Amino acid sequence: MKTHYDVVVIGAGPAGLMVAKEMSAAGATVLLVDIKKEIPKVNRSCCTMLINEPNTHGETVRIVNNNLHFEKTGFTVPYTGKFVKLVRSVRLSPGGYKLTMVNRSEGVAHPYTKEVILKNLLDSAVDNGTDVLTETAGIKAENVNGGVRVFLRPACSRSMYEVRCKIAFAADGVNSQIVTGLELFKTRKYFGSFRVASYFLDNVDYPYWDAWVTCVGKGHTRWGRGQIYMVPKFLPYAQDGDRPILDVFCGTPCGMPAKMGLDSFIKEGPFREWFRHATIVHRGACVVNFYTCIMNPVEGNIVVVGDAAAFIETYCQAAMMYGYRAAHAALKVLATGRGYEDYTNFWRESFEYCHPGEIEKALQGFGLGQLEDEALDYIFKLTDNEEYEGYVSENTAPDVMKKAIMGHIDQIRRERPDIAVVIEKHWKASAEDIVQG
Amino acid sequence: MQVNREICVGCGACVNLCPRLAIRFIDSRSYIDQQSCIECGTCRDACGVDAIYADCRFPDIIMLNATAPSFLEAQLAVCQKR
Repeated sequence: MKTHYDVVVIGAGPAGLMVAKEMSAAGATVLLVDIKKEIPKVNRSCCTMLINEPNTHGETVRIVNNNLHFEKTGFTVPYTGKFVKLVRSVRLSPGGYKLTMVNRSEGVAHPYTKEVILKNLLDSAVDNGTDVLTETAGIKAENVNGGVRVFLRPACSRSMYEVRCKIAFAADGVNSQIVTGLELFKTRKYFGSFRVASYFLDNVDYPYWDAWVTCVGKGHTRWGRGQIYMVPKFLPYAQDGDRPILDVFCGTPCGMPAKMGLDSFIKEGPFREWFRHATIVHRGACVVNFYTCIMNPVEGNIVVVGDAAAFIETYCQAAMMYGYRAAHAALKVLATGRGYEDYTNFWRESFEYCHPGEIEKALQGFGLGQLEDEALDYIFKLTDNEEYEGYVSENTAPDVMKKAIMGHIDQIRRERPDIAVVIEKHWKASAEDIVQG
Repeated sequence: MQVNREICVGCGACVNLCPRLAIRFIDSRSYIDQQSCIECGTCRDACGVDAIYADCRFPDIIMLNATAPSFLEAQLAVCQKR
């Protein structure tokens, strides 16, 4: 290992690996740092390992020869795993009524296996000559004359050491340590924190294998807080003939551990029958601090990519895409001394949460938190047999949901004026109200 | 704070949140460096699977912690008051 590099990448997720792969392919000397021992292994809960609808975060990804092809940016990520085609996005009330969005031809989303993607990207980065340092935390990066000092600390050491580079990439995710130490962190507004726990369940007796399911309402867990999602996906390195497992998530604002909500949902929730014979094959968890986006994700020669710069998260696909764009902008900087605008301008234009009002809109899609379960059952009973054109993404689904419910608003006003008032108020609620609610 | 490494799933959530950088990732599980830990409870509040608990390393501080609301709850109470 050297002490001077062209590029140091902190964090080996989809964004960081993409940067390392692209920069090293172009001949730059790259050091990739991650706290994990096995980089491809994913223990975090992740519900964004999927091909999302066209134009999500300014990019359309399609499956071409089983690989992920990024149409607008123009590159392909090799993939050797399996996809699940989901054609429905279902919101379930505690009484079992639903609001369904469908896209039968293209699918609403295609979950893939993140481990396979990470392994393929890591292998190409290493083949290109990237130095990889595992079990090492990136503690701080600071701009100095002519480059960046990056402070690293191995997992089993008390001392930090320093690596110099021309450009550093902070790709260490939603709770980025590097970003906390930058000036631009002060421009971010804090919304709240979510704890998440997830199980991969096998042997689930389940009617929604073709759907992304979001449970709306308080009656799904004993404590009534938080949000449950269910996504079918394949285990890493699943073979032909293997069936997908069900990834069940519980996210909760605070007050109780997410695992308690998850256990409660599986053992005593309204849909407990589905899980009677289920076995847990993998457990995951994560914590997500909600900050507003970094509007200008470059400070000096420190470039912030992927979730580290985002409100909550970018989808895995967009993390790779922004990593690709940031890497090519940085290559231009190495060659000509300028060029970060290619990346920062694109980030501001394409990442939806950088636009005013988008955070509120997406959070409204989380559900009608102010309504009691009985009212939710009433509303979802109205939409139970209907299907609306839509996708999974939180950027467009709230509009579809709003349209579906507002389509029945006259009937609701007539039969249940109390519910109509709450619904109309909900679409005007602020982001803080929804997070705290 | 201590980590029950049997329960820890190795998501790394607490690692980047520790204000004293006391949490390490060893063999894909969290490990809290007891010489750096100040028993603030941030990691315990962050843990999605409840793998982190307070032990009686500093009895006085633990007594205080036991009666005080956890970090996130206290923060939420402040937000709600506003």
